[in-house]
Amino acid sequence: MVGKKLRQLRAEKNLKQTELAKILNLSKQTISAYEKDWVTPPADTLERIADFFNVTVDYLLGRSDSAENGSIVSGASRDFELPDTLPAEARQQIIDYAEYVIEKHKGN
Amino acid sequence: MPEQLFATAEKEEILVDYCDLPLDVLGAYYNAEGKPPVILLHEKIRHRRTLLRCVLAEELGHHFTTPCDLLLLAREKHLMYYKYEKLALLWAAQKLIPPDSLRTATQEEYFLEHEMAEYFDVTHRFLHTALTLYLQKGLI
Repeated sequence: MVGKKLRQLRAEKNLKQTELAKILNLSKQTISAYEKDWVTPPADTLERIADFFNVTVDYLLGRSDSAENGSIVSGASRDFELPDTLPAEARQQIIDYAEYVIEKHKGN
Repeated sequence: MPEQLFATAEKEEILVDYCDLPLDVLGAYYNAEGKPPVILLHEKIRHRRTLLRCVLAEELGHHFTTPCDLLLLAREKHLMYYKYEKLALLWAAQKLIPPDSLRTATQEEYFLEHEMAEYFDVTHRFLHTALTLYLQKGLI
């Protein structure tokens, strides 16, 4: 998935594999392997590729238009530090509340 | 003032409501395809204006910066989860504590941390997180 996107983005910028390799500080062979989807770039490389082409990592991974179930959910806790994983039940509870709010709004 | 943030939510056609959120979650943002986005705020912060302001700003931050389901990413301990949480916080921080105002304020006067929190009407925790982010990003 990443390979196709990477190839497209590189073509749009008119860059050769060697040129992109130099920019990202990788070898030409590595770029080639990514584009053929032989290997998926590690997270830090994905981020650098995304930053360079000004796209999101999700776009590279081919999931920018929707997440697994097409919903965005996030929770904030009191300390504004990164919250630990919320259990699946809590996540579902949040979704249920939100769906209820949407239904209530429709009724008005 | 939380009012301005509520106005932003309204302009973005986000539904905002209070409820008893599970665990220690104070705010949540939900956006499902084809439906209006929703921000849920914990009932217990309804009258705590400063905390409310910080939580609402963070959730608005997700509205403007998060492209996918974070709680799923969190479950997978996905690296991007941390990035998107940071992006939302940074959005909120810049909204409530604009780096320019921060620079001006600290040039004119020496602030203790709690005075600074009061000045910007944010909680200590929020201020602390915001300053840490700004330092990391070289914004101050």
